Amino acid sequence: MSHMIKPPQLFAKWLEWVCAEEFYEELQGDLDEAFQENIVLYGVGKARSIYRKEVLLMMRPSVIKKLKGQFIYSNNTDMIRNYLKIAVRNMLSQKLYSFINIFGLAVGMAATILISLYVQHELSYDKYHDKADRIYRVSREWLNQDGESSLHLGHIAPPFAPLMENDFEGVIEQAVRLVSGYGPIMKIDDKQFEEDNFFFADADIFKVFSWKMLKGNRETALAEPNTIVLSKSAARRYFGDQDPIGQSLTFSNFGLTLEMKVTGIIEDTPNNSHFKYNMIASFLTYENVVGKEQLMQQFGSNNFATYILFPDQSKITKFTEGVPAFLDKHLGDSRHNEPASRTNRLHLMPLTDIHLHSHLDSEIEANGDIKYVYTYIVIALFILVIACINFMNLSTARSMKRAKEVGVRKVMGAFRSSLIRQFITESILLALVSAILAVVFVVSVLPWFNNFSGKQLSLMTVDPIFFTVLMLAVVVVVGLLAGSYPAFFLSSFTPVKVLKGSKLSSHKKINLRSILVVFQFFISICLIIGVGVIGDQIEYMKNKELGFEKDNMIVLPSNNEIHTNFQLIRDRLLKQPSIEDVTFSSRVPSGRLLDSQGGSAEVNGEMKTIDFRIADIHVDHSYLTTLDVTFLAGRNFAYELASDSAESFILNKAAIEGLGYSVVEESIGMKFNYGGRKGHIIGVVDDFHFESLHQSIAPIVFVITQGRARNVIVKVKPGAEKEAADYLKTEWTSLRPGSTFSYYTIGERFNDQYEAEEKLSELVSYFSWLTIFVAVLGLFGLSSFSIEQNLKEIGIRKVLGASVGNVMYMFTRRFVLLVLVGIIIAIPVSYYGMTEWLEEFPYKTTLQPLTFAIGGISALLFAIATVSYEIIKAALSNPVNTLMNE
Amino acid sequence: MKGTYLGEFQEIVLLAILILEDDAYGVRIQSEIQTELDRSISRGALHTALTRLEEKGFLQSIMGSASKERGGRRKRLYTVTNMGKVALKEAKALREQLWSKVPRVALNINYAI
Repeated sequence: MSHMIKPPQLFAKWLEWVCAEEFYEELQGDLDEAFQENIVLYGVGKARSIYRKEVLLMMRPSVIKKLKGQFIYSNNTDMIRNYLKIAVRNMLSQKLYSFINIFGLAVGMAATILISLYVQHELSYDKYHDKADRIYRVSREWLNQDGESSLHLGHIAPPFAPLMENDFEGVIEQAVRLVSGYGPIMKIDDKQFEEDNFFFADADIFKVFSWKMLKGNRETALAEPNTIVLSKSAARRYFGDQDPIGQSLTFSNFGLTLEMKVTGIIEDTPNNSHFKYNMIASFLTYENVVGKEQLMQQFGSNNFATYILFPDQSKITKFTEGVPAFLDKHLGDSRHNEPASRTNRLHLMPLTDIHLHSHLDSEIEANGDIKYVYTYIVIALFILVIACINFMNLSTARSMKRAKEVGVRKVMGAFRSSLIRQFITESILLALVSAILAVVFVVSVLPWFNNFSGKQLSLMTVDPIFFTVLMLAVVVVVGLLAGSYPAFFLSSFTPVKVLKGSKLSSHKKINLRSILVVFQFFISICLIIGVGVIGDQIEYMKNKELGFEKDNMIVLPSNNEIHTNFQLIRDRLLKQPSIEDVTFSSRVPSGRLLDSQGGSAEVNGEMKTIDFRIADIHVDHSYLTTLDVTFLAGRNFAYELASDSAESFILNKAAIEGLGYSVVEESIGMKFNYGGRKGHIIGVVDDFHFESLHQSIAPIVFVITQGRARNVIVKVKPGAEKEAADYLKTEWTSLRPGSTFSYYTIGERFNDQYEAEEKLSELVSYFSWLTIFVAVLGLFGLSSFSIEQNLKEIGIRKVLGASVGNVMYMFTRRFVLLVLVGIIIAIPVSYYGMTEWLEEFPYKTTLQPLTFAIGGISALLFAIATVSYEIIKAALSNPVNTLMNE
Repeated sequence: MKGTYLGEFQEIVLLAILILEDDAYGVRIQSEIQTELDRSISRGALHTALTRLEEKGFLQSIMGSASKERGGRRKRLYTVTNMGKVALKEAKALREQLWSKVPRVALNINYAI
């Protein structure tokens, strides 16, 4: 054995480093010797692993160096140890204050961590794509004659993408289209599901977006017609553990049945994507059904989400500059020989902005809102600030008690700087304990928060090193901020004064502590008022008269068969005692009005082009009576008049006023052309809220069109909804075989529109309770401390004849005054803030004094209740006990 | 007499050192225990026991020779002190005394329950 194999060096070094000097030689020698023997006995591999294990088992007190010996003894370490010892003793000796201090700060930190997680998630949308910074979504805006925007859709027409790729060669790398499959039924053997997140997409989609392909070829998966890529969970739903590649699924929708071959599996949509997919079928499948030629003509069918990948950022301006000419070339002259670019615009939006910044008239999925993100950030900061203020206040108040300690330390030769260091060490220690507690809080409320916000947040997704560093930074900053005031304040005492026992001036009328209390209550009251106003607005929107009958209306999906046999079906349904009326239409109240066409109208004897947007709703004869809309003039569509279904128009008041009639009756019988139909206005209905109250009432025209009515609306007798639904279920299962029966009511759907506001209100209310809680906690600590300091005063007052009421009044007054000042500042600030918030709503509630009163009074009551507990206790106590020892 | 108490493992270590005579150092003691008792112990655990025994005065040690396998490091050779031998004998006597008091019948192994 001339050449010796060496034991694992890392472990050998490690042992050398940690092993106590006096044992190192023998132990390392023994391990080496055993290692060489083991090589002979078991081979190198085994010997190494034994060696490693032996080293790890060496980590015991008898072997390891004593830590003490590591550091050079210095006065500094001793002093720091002393600071920590005093800090811990202090914490333990005043358990209540320490608890309030630590708990309050922990709650504040926890709220902040939670909100930061949420915000971080909101900001991370779509950033996971490798090329995210070069991907843009194209949206299309229509302008009226005056150059005002009349409609802005997040989807554009199908010919645009291929035309762009052709016309902007070199400027854009890819342009891909996605179009919804409108919830087809997918089937294999006996398994079938209605797929909501089904899309047809261009083959290049995977070159633009970087979702992971788990099986199949990224390049070719969607290159053929009748191919489909499934998400991982969709694949499992249909195929279980089998390999889905090469299998077929049956697609059925639009009265069409297609076999689609599975050519790939992709990861499930990441949670932070602005739209979610379950299945993506090849665009060629769609193109084959519609016809390629046909599709390239459909400039009016704006249902195609279109994304452009640019080779680099610099090409974007080149593209935007080229768009007007591009539009003129392909859209041609729309009317009056005007270039198309005057009434049409294409806009680009970076992919990563869509989730928070895009609020167009059509989106693939409802997006978040950057304003809410800001609101949450502000609330988080508020809570943290309030908690810090508490921390500061209590530390300062408590430190009064330690004036003697400071005096003694100074006499013993402590510098001012070392006293400052002591107090800061102490507050950093408290902040550290709070931070640990805060993490525990976050972990325990995260499941609930996820449930509430519909996100999947987790501390695990955050980089642990980043998180730790951040938390430590917060601890240090909060510790420094909170510790600095008491540190500088206390260290300024002159030892002679404090040791002689002269009273410290804690009775100043306005001091920092009072200002901080005022600030805390100011923020809490603002939040309470905010919750109140948001609640008022929601109530207002839910209860406002909409101008039509929204209750007892059931909406059902329709299909071709129902269209063709509509009269028969209607007659059959009407025989049911639970059903009052049945109608069908292209749009249902509570939905958006997205369809519109151009036209002209007779005003003052001459034909005028309509220069604003009138939305159209395709209905049947009984639509307006079923909804119970008020007629201002003229009449409803009549069954007997055949002309009504081809050349009659009913408009709403907004449309008539837009045309320029001051008296609605005058418009009856006037000529009206719309979307290729020529006819007359036969009736005018009063304005009603077709869309949610986020929108102003739009001009609408009602026309009778058989084929375009996609929804069946059934008016049910009040109280008979269940009966009617049961009947409709049997009826619809036979009319739409294979699909699941589902319906919604208009009333419910209207209320669903206000979900965003309700979420906001709920969240703000939780956090406002939290701030109130923390503020009250602080006030409690502060007031009980002040009472404790003044027990003797109370005693003397009582001896001299003050009543319990007098004493209570004296002490409560001070705190109540602070809260009152908070209220006085909070009311105008929140008035201004909430007026700003309401500005966004076209129909808004008035700010009610009651809401403000509730905010102020509840804060005041909370404050009085907290303060009086300790005061009553002190006021009722026997003066003998407090004055006994002096 | 807390100081003279012998733990079971410590007793085994002392006996192993006596068996090994002049060659009683770490690795040898470790392998002796391993082969005789078929019991795997780590060098670290052995170290704890040896230090403890030396503190109690049951063991004495001197630094011995180095070898190439040891990377040129010396070994620590242990010998049992008189005190250690007394403690061992006491432990043995104590046990024998207890054994002698166990009634024969109690030692019959019962298989039935």
